[in-house]
Amino acid sequence: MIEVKKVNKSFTLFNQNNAKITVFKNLNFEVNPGEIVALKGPSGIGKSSILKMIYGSYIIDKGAIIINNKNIATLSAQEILKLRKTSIGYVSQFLKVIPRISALDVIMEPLLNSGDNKNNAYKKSIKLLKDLNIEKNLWHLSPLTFSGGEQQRINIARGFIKDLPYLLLDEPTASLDSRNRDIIINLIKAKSNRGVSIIGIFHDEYSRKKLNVREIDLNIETKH
Amino acid sequence: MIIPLLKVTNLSKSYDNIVGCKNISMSLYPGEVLGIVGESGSGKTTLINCLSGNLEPDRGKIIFNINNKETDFLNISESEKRKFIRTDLAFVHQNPRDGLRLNVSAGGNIGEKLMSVGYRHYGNIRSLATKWINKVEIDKSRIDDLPITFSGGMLQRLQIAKNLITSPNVIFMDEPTGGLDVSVQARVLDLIRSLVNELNLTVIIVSHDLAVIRLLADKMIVMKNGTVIESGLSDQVLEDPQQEYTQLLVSSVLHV
Amino acid sequence: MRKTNNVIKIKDFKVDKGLPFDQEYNFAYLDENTKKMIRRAIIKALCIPGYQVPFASREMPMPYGWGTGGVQVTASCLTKRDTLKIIDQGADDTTNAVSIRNFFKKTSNIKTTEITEKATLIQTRHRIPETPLKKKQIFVYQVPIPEPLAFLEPKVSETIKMHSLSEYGAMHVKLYEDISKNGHIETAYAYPVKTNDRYIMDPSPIPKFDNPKMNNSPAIQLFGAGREQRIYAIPPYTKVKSLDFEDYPFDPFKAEHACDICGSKNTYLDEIIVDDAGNKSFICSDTDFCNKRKNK
Repeated sequence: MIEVKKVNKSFTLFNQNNAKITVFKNLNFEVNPGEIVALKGPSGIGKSSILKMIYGSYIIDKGAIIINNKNIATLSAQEILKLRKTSIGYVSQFLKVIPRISALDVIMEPLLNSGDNKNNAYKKSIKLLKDLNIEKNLWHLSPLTFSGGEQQRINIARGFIKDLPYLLLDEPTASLDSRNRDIIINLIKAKSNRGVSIIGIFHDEYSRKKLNVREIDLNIETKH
Repeated sequence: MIIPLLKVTNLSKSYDNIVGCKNISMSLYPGEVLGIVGESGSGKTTLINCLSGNLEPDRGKIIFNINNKETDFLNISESEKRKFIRTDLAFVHQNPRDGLRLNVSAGGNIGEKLMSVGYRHYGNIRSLATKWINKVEIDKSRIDDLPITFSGGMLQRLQIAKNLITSPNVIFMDEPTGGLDVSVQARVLDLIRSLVNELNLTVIIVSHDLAVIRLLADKMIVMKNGTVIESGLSDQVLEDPQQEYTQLLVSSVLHV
Repeated sequence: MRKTNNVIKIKDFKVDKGLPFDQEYNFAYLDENTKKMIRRAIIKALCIPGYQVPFASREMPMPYGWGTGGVQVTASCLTKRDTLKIIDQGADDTTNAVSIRNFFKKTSNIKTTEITEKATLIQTRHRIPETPLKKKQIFVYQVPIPEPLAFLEPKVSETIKMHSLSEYGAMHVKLYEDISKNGHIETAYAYPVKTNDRYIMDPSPIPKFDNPKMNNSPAIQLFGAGREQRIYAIPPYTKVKSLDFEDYPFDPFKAEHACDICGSKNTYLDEIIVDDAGNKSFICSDTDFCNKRKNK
């Protein structure tokens, strides 16, 4: 379960006349195991910021985000690192990888990092690549040379390869054609069926419907 | 409760009236990669030189805790300190020529680290050296060649092999890709990253290249005028910097 | 020893004409205060086997590289009752040996010999005699570079630290390089040793064939490096071990030949080109030992 309690977030831009931008005040919501929550609202309202706060990439100014009975706002850096490794998966909007590393290695890495053996990681990755409809001749090439849709799928594969209880998805179905979008939707459903708590940003109505999401409208939630 | 592998408290070092670093406190846990960033003269190098035993700080405490054995780094005898540096620490220099003997073969360079910790069996030294030459992706037929015949990228990989062969507990890296061609930087970075993951290495890496820190480091500290002005998870410091200087640093990165 | 000296017959000495004893010099050239200073260094060196003791090396009336360190040590140890033998590469009749012998005859008027057993003090360049050294003999080596770590570490402050902390691991790098290049340890002279399980020491450029002779020797072994201003020593009956690898043990190599003059099979040989066709002859480098065998 993820609990977001009375969270405030603002940015101070020191290099732009100390402009202070308040993103939201007093944000509250929770996500139960197996539930898919979609964050809704116009761009710039802070959907990605919420995911990043839950993941620990953004500082939480005020309030608490509780995962596994731990408050992200007060955890030390190494405790967040540990929590990420054991519990939280994050699929960013764009793939960020080192040049020249093959797609297969990119996908295997999270497993190898948490001590899985190479053989096992290889098998799992191959299966995921097949499920995601990535052509075999691309597996050993760097994803930086791929199309946007292919990169997005590699990014998802990397985020989905481990079995983690919490998943944060930043526009996972953007830049995909309808066929591949359905593949991703099915993968997300499968995760959800296994009890994974999922928070996502889905730009299209179709995905939200298919996934049967509970919507949280930030326009309403943050206007208290 | 995990005990930090390295705990630094109020570390200061100045050169006459010039501040090298001032009141630095930080801790590092096993398996973590810590990035140190800051502009030239901010005290990055002074800090890692103090931590790695190359420089004697003026004040402060450096405590290593390795396998539940506590070492008060600044309060042990010279011989204990040198032994500790030899067996538990490693230092990868920006210029591989500073960390290698250019008149000694690649295998001899790697083997020296083993011999310095007591290996006296040629066959064992040779086979371990071969294994590590392979590991850093140098063709093993080059093992008896002198480093002067190697390219910059190969030299850096050789230096990395030399430093890692004895499984040190903390590895210091000073701009490890700084002197390399852009085309080989990526490969060396990838090598470092895969070794860090595979061997669960604990690393302190100094770089002014934020991309290197983003790729390698779990945590980072930002230094300015000898002090730490911001620290935290690398992605947090880079994406949500809280200090004016850090914001400036992050926004100065060229995106082409 | 003194008794032995009394029975030495005159024919044992090669008398170099034209070099009379010169009474104007202090005995053995050096002044007594200098000798005292050097003796103190020698005693310290004997107390810490293999440790290089700095000393205020004097200008000698011969160039550096001709044994000025050895000569100062010899001069400081010499008494009027001593019998001196000087060898250069094992031979008593080569330039360096003849010059130094003349030098001491001129400045001290002591007895000299070519016979190893009869000498009480032997100064050597690059060999240890085949005849085993005995109790009460002093054996002085001429040393060009006393620091065995010099090839690894150019800083003297650092080598001093390495010695004091026994940081000797890197010493094996040279041996490693030998094996990887040649399949065996190629180093043939100045082969490093560990003295009394503590200090790594350069035995001066003697062939490694001679290294085992240093171990547990009844004689006092002194090493003098004039230009480098260092004295070190091996006291009698001290363990001296040549460095090696477990799987490549030390091997005191010699040429696979017998001496063409005396027929000896277990002595160190010089290889000599004897004609323009490149034919070779192998003869003992220790002339005294070879002569004795030949005359038997």
